[in-house]
Amino acid sequence: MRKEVIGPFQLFAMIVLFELGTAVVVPIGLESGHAVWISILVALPGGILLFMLYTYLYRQFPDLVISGYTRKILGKWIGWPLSLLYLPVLTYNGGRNLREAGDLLISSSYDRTPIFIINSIMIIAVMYILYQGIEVFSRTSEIYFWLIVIMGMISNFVVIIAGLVQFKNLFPVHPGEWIEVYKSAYPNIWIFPYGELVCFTAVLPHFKTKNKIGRTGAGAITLSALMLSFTHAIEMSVLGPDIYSRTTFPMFTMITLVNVANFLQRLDALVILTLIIGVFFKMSIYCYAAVSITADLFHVKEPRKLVIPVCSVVLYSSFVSAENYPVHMNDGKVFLENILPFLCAVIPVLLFVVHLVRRRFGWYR
Amino acid sequence: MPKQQSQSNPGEISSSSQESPPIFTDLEDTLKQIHERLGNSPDLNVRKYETLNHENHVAVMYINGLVDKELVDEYVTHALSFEEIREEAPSAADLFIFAKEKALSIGKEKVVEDQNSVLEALLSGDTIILFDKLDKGISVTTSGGEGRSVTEATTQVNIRGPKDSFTESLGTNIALVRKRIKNPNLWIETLTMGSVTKTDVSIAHIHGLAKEETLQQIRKKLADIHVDSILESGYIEQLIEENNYSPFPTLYNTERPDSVAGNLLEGRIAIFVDGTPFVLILPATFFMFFHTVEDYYQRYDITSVIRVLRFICLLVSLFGPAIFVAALNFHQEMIPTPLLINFASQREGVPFPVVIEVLLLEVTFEIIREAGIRMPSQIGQTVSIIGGLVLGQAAVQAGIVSPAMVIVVSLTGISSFATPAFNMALSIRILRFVITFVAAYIGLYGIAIVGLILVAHLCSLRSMGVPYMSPVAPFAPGDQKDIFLRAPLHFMKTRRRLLKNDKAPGATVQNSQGSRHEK
Amino acid sequence: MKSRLALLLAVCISCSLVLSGCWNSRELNELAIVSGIGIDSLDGKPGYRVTFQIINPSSSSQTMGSTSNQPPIVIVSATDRTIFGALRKASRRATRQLFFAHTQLVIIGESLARTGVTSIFDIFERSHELRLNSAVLVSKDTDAASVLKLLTTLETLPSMGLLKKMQNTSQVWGENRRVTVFEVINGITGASDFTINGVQIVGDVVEGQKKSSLEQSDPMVGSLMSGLGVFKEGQLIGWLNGPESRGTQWMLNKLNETNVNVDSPDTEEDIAVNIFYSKTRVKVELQDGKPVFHVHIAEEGIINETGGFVDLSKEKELEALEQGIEQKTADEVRQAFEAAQKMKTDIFNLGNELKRIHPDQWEKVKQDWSSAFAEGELDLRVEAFIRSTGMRLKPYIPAKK
Repeated sequence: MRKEVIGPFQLFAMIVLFELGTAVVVPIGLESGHAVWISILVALPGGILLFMLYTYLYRQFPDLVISGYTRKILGKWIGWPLSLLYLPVLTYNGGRNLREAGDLLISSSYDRTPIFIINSIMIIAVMYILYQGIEVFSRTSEIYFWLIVIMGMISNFVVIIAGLVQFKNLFPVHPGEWIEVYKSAYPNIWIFPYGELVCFTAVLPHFKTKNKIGRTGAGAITLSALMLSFTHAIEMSVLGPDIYSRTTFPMFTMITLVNVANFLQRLDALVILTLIIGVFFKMSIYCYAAVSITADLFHVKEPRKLVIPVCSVVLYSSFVSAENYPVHMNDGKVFLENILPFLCAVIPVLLFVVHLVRRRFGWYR
Repeated sequence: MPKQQSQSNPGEISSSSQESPPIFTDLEDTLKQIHERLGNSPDLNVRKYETLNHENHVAVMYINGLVDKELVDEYVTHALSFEEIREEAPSAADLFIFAKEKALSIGKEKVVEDQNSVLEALLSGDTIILFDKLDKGISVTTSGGEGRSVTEATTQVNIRGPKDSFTESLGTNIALVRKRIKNPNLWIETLTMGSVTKTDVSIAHIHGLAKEETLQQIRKKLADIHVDSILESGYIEQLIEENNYSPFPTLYNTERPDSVAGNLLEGRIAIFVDGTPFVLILPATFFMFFHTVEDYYQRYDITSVIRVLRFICLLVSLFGPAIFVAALNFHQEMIPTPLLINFASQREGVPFPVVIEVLLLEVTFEIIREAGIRMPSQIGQTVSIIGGLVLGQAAVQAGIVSPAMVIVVSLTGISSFATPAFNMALSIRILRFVITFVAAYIGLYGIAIVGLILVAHLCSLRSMGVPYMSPVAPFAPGDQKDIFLRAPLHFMKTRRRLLKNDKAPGATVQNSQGSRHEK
Repeated sequence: MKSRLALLLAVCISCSLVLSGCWNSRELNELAIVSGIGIDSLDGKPGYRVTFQIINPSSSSQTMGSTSNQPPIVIVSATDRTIFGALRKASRRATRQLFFAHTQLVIIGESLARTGVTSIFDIFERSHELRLNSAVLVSKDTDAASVLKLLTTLETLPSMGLLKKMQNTSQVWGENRRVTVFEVINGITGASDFTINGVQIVGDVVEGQKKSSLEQSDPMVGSLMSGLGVFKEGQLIGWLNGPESRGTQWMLNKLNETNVNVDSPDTEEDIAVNIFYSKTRVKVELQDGKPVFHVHIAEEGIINETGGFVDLSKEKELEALEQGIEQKTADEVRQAFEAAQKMKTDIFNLGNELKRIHPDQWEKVKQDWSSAFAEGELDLRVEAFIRSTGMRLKPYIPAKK
């Protein structure tokens, strides 16, 4: 079979959709209060740096997914078990995303529908698209990139013309708060959503224009950071720090307040669509990463065969991982602070250093 | 199932592989056998002549209705009664040479040497001249006969632009295209397909513009088709499609010569099939089905607005009833209060759930549409008036459906007619039912998920190797000027990225579907 | 073989999905659309009496279909310890499931308001059906249920009528403004206190529930927007009326349009000026431990009526009028401010402002903000401009000799 390739714009769209994913709908960086939008921007350089790290490794091993070059760099005996670690994390995180979507959908309009149904419908779509291959997936994300951009513009525009935005909720940022801004930016926002880009190490081997990778990635991350920051700034300025910090779904709460001329109101559908699309793409990339790492580790020739089992695991983990939303959120905190940084930052940095050393001293056979 | 047909009645005329009986030197014998092999068909016309020197017997035969009678009378029969025959052609062999070289002054003539080729020639409208005491004959191209003349297009009507449309005759059709592209690079290959029907199929492309790989692919695919009948281009369409399990058509068909010409100039390839006015165009992309050739005749701004309207219609006809059902059953909070009260009061007396109501009306609408199409056009209008106005009004008054539902269903129905390509409109119509069901099941969430799957499916399709959703996915910024909007013609200077023939020197020459030709 | 298995699996899954039903699907004619909620206290006992105003679709819409002579609304009420409990209990009296996504109005009975409203708004936040932008009213001198029961003229739906009344008057008169649940919650959680519009019934309550009361050109019963209820720590402690209430809106920068009567050279208050633009800027700071509120109001108006002779073509006269407007505005704002100070309630968002701009200073007065506010000093500056005098310059009224 022909090797599937993706182009620069497709990668761009995928990164943006992935970054926006759940981050655009759930409240993030609560520690920094009303300055969350600054935190997002402050974490941006770190995010780009991290992505550059991944692209460096990709340039060194353009045909390998992360587990492949981990084994190359650290040797088979350390590399194999270390890359095996990615599997539970990726599936768990994919499951978490699914769970979040399910919970938000249930609390916002499907209060009588079992979460199992909501999640399995979503996972069926993910299975379908992954079964079609990464190329189809990337093309779909191109189309949905535009859709998300247009919907984002509409909803922000509507909120602004409804006169709900009160910029005084955003300013001023007092000197003491800057410390909190940094604290929530690093490591929390740095890892979620930027660090999660580690999934793209599984997508990058399909990227065909190697020399454009840096520009594409940095551009996409910057754009998504700006969009995230803007959206969260709007949410914060409409809701105020108090409601923002208590709500589970600030974007939804924000849009329910909209009422322009008694006609443009109740645009909840836009937000629900944004949520579905964002989670769908984010989760698909998680599943894809899990599939290709599994295929690489266990030498499965036809990765497609793994789509159904991996997605089933994700589905299963989505509803057994926590019994309710608060537990889910608390688990997430632990996970975000202790496990994700290790996989998103520590291992890649380790790989980078070892690779440099080995190359410097010519320790590659 | 053309393939199974060939198994059920093997042999007969499809005997080209079998041993062919020769043409006997005795004219009578040959004629008798040919009569027999055609089942003594009355439409076989045989006229026997004696040449002026009373020495040779000649038979002229053709099949009534397949030949141009005037041609036969004027040239063939006439040629055999020349004075010179007496001196110059004493023997049968001489007569043969004389007739072939001198007397017959029309079209092509061919020497036929066995009965099978005689039959084949006869059936494709040639006139055969057989000579007594000679084991060969001449076939003269005289095909013609009754056919529809070039008339106005009926399925793809336009306001501005040429009014002619293809006919059932392959020759006429190709000529109609040639008249528009007076360029030697318009190359046409013809092959015969269908072991029983022996249908002529022509592949047309512009040399240097069409991609060579695509051509090869098409040739190969056509060569792989083994069926005994090709009655319409739809047979070929279904046999060479890459995605049999997709509701979407991946080949475009048209009956307008200007559309074919425009597409050829874009680097696409056309397949003409004898006996049908519908020409296949490939590779086709999703967005082609929403463009009409008239888009290029109108001003760009008007066209752009109309195109946007068409895409809105697409969304309405796909999602209209589904969104209505979802909003009414699941997301009542999204309807503005006065409107909701309005709907609620309309629904007070209606005994059915919203989905049943939608399906009831949708199915009624489809029945009216289907019935209207098959009717003669005068009655068709009556059907739609009775169906649409009377039924709708009565249903509302009887309290079976709510007025808002009638509005939604008729709006979607009308929207689906705004899609210029009928086959695309049909697939959308079927998908609409699926989406409505899903919406009734899980509301907006279901619509969003089906939408995702649908887009993913569209992205996975290919037509002759070209991604179906191109140039939107994969995104080609340069090609966007002719998708949702249409840029002014003087901006359209580059070719479609995925259709471009990279090797040809003329590949960068401006040539859109419009009429500009610049070097 | 494999693909067949997959197909079988897919069929099984889809069957199980489809057959298990449509959980959230509800037909419109199974729903009772609630347009307004009234919450009253149970005298002395904990708990609420919750009243729902349900829309009767067949008689509140002008479309085809069954129209009946029933009144456009139906009232159902229930009592329970919690609001949610009450709305579920109401099912015993309602034929259809109550549906709250279109609830536009929440009315709180005065007695409940006096005991405290802090706890009743949680359900509005938590539920996805109830909306945060429903308007809130306090029924003055009566219970919320009676207000909901009143039928209105012009608007078929009483809640919609009340809402429009509120919007209309806040649009052109400015003593009230649309206070939403969202604002109330922000008021409860914020550093300052808040106000809620009052609504009053004039006439006989029992008569107002009958459709016959609408069949005369001058309805015997009606409701009117009346004043602002001042809430301190969630409890209603007093009412602001007339100029005090308008001064409050001025202070809060919520004034859209209003009318100010200014003195002409000859008579008092006989020139009507339509204020169509007003912008208030507030700065708060601590000076020697005492808060100082710098308020700057800029307003623009049009002269709409003169009762006596004013030579409006003269700049000087206009300037005098402008000063008159400034004077009037400052008076009203001061009245409102003093009333608030007397009640020791910061209804002007001033605490929030101090907290936002000078969090360090806020820390000092946070403990006893109400009394600090009561001692605060108002530094008011008003600038008024007359932009137009309408279609005429000089009035036809002759100048007095």
